[in-house]
Amino acid sequence: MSLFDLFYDGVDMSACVPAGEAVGVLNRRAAADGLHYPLCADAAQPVGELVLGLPFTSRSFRYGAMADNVLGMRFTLPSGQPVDVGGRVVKNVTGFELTRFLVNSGRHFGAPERVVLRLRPLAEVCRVLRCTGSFERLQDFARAFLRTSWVHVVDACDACFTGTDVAYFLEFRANAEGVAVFEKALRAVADASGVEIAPVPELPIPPATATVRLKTVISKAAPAAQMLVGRFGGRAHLFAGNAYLLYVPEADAEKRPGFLQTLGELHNEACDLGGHLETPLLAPDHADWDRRWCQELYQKWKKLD
Amino acid sequence: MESPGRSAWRSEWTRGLVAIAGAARVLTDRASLINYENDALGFHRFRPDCVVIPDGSEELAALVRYARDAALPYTVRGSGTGLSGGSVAAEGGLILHLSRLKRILEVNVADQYCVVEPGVVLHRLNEHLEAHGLFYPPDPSSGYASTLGGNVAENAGGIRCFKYGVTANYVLGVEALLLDGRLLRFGGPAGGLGRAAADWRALMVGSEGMLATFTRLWLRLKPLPEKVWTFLATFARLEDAADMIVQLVHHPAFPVAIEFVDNKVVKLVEASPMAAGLDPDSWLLVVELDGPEPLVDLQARELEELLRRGKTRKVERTSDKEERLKLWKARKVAAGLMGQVSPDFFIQDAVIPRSCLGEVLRFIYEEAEKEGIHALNVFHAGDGNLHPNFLFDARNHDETEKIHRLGHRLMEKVVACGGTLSGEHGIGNDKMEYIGLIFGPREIALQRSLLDLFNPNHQLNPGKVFPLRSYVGCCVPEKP
Repeated sequence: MSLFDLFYDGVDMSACVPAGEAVGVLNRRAAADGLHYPLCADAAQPVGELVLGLPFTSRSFRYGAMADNVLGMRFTLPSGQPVDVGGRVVKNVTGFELTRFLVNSGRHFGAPERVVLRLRPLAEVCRVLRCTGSFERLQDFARAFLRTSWVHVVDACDACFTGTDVAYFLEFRANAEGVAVFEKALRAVADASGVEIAPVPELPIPPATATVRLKTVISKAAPAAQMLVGRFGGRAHLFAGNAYLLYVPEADAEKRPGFLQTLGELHNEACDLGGHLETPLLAPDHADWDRRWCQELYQKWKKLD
Repeated sequence: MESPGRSAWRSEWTRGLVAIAGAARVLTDRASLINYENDALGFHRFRPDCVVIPDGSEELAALVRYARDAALPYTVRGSGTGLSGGSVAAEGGLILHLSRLKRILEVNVADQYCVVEPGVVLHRLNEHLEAHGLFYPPDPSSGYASTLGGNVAENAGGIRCFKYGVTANYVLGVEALLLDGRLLRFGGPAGGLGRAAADWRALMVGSEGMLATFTRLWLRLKPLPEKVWTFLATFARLEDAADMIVQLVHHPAFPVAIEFVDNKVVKLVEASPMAAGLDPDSWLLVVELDGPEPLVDLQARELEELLRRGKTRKVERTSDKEERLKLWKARKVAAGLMGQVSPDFFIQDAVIPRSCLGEVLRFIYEEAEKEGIHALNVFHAGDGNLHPNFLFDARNHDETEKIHRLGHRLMEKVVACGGTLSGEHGIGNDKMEYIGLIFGPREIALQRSLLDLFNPNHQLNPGKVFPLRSYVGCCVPEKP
């Protein structure tokens, strides 16, 4: 038996699926066992695209980054040969951490063929709360919330910016009694910050076509979103706990004075903090050492047979 | 007895090291070097030629440059609490002991991260963070002594991993000295890629000291949980405990820890002055739950019901800090007691799918019994991370042979079940012989291509992880 034979193991809460299979197929099967792969916003998205796409999604707030939830991969190298990295168990320090490396940078080196995903228990009731108020009050609310013990159990904490509107969305799953406890506790935090909260059916879906993706620190992320939307229009979706921002500018934004310069400044600030800003609107300015290492690895892996 | 050639070679470069670090922090006498022969595993002993204790990252950089130019193999070491032989000088040469790089440089409460030097002891960091209402979740059992640099190098785990994940989930950035003398930062407070297209930070974590020398770490923090409940449940049969583990793993309350202690260890604890008042013939699970108080109180009732519905003999729970320690007692004292009853112990760190727990544990007991070796199991059941301890006497050649056979058969079984060699200890030189069980030739070539990039001559921590990793071009006369 190979570690990367396709399998679904409801007892161990893991599954090895073809990279081309829609994540919704896996989630439908897992739901029958009270499980799900939580880092999924679009059920139709192929698993391979999902894991090499965004490093964070809404539920990364609780479950961690995409790389924390991919246990292993069969990966096709530039040579065309498949190679196995990681495995199917939830802890694995055998050899270098190539699974994490490839999830976060694999699109430069090849493509996944099969992916082993970690599944999680799915609680019976899901409650999403929409929090609204002025930007300053919402910032106070977010700061207060992120210091509470609730960050250990809340699934998602996203913020959406459109026009002059800002709203935070919190998703929590438990049984009915647990959800009631959550709502009461959140109301207290919201009241203290002067923020309104109301239940909504579901989390807003993050934009699939964000041309600007910013990874920074928590305290800089929401102000960056507010500034971009305020000055250049469009909309922004922030995975608040992970300080990862998706920004969809208006169609002609790059022609507006100061837009590209602002992106450049945000990029420089993010890089200084060990973050990054990815956008096709700016030429990449990767360090020389990174370019050389990527090239050398690519060439080495092209020759592996 | 050292040969004249080796002695002359050693004195020549020792003078260079003393010029950088001063004589007091350059150790070459036998009595000092013996302390660095092994890690917490106890056996696999290799004496370094020299140990240097740098006083800061600039001095460390100078030492690394000197070692490179003098063609000395070198190994970086924290507290030496590892359990895979990762921080021993397998080919002699130099050990750089980072115990003086122990500053906590920043705690950023708003952005929930800290910056530390690699020699900071894990427990000390968490003591420091408590005043800020924050904590660093990974918690290897050695946390009272182990250093964060070592934790990152081995991608350490611990009891809380089931909920919180391993060290890799918390490393936002690493500043590292490369073999070529450059000091680079991979990631940083924001935990992104920086000016890079690839996630080099991911490779640094768990690299077992083979790719670079860490000088600074950025670590993600979490708010301290408001309330913690600890549960203790005992079982008459292994199978009943294994069934309960699967149910706990599936519970949406997501316990922090699900820890298993076998009946032999319980017997050992109860026969010792550390007795915890348990039925000596029982199998034990210790479970912990944390989070916001009103929710965790609710979930604690659900978890208690679940445990009572299982085939348990006894269920206890408490949220009182002192009482919680009592419930943890048998789990926490087990390793120390094993050290008291046996001259040596061989601990494995395999991880298996949790669906195979009962089957693999039975296999361990049967195989150990066939060899006449005592096997005791205390492990992170929620993660399927086994820690079978085989008790033996390393001075007895037959017993050592038996241990090797047992280790090999266990790893074959683990891999056949879909498991892996190590979940948190690393491969080091202890598990190197099994690497071919998990990686085929192409996978080994893939892994080694990273060494070609960062450590092509294997000067940094040679003799670890991959067989035949020997320092090419080493000037050490008569390698050990």
